Amino acid sequence: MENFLIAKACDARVGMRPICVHMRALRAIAAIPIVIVLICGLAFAQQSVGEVTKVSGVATLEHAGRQSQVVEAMAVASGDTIRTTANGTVVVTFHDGSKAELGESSAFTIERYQLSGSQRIGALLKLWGGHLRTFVSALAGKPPEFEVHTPNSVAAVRGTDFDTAFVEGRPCPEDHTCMRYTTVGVTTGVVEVRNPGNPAPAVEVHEGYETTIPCESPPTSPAPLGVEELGAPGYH
Amino acid sequence: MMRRTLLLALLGMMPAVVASAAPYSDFFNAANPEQLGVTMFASAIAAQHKYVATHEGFELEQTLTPYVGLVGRVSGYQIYEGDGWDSPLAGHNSRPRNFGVLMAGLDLMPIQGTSFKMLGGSDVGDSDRARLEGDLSSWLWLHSRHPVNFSLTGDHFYNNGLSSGTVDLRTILDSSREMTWLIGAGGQLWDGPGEPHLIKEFGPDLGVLIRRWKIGIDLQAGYGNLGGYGTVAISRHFSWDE
Repeated sequence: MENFLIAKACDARVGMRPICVHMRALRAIAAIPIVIVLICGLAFAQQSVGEVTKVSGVATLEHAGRQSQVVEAMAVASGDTIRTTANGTVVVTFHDGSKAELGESSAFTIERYQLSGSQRIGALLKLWGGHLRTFVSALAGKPPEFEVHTPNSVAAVRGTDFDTAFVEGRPCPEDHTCMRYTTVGVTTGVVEVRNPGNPAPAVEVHEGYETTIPCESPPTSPAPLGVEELGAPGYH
Repeated sequence: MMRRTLLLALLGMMPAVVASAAPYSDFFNAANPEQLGVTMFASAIAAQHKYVATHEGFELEQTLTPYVGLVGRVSGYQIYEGDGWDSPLAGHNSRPRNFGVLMAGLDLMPIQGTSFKMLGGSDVGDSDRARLEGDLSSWLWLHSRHPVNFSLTGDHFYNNGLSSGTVDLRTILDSSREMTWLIGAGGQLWDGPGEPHLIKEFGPDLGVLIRRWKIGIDLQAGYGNLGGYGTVAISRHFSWDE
């Protein structure tokens, strides 16, 4: 509209025409980045699968190769990676009502989050390290189609609330020689856990139980939540 | 010929020995990462009309290897009346006795969930003689619906020649993200100079671990040679990777 008015004004003052053409070109060039930002913003808004609903401490979000500090109400999209520092935690609420709570010194990527309106079609979160608690909104009569992967495990949700932790650089309680392991603890419902690097069948972990996946081994038989702590030095 | 056959047999057995030693091949390796743990604790026991004893302090544990830790414990005892099962001062009824206990030793953890502590040290204060302690705790069937913990402790007090022990058998009743509940039964027994026979008391116990805070609370009540008794114990665990 603004450009149109300028053009009209220039047409009225024929003697100034070359300057007006130049100005018009400048205006058009200046508008390009604005249009690009608007288009990108629109595209990002279309891709948004949820938003950050709680942040404490420092956390970063990597989107399309760019890093920015996480703030509340920030939109998240498939492909985004969120990292927390030693005192940072982040809660992401997806548009289907599911939540992911990332613990301290942790990182996860929203590999895929497909929505149809506010209904989830499928979701895959990848935990690179640290701790992720997931609340999965239930869809009546449909399988949840929600998975959390770590480098050595796949946890397929059959329920609604579970914790995943991927630990690297510490000996696994189940096998001191293994220095990378995943634990999956279930608070509500059932989660099916397997190690994609091992042909052993998946293990179903029910409410109140947890399993450990050491290195390339299959998941252990579920044990009650807390038994690792009770068996550790200091609780005997 | 016989010697040669024996040598060959020994050589043949070596791989098997090496293979069976594989699970402990890192026995002498430094733990990675090493961990410092601190457990603060307080407990009280009251036996009907006989005595009340309180015990509080902290225990430090530094891992050395994946299977061995160094343990040090500093604690205080107060015994308010009568002759206590854990009192090295049996026979003195005139006033509450206060004494500290300094102990140190090793914690062996041969398999996951099993710990055997051997401690030695001395009392200071109203009691000032040496004491020895051994603690065994083992979790059985860890990967089952209800793992079972068996624990046994034994002490010998050089101050009065008494020996005492505790025994406990518990299982996980229920567990959630916040808490783990344990139920079982146990008791204590002691004997030595001045005791007519082995004194025993046993009863059911209930425990809870508040997972977020790493706080354990245990209650026990029962009956024995001294009548009814009750115990309460609380502990808080902290740990740091090094």
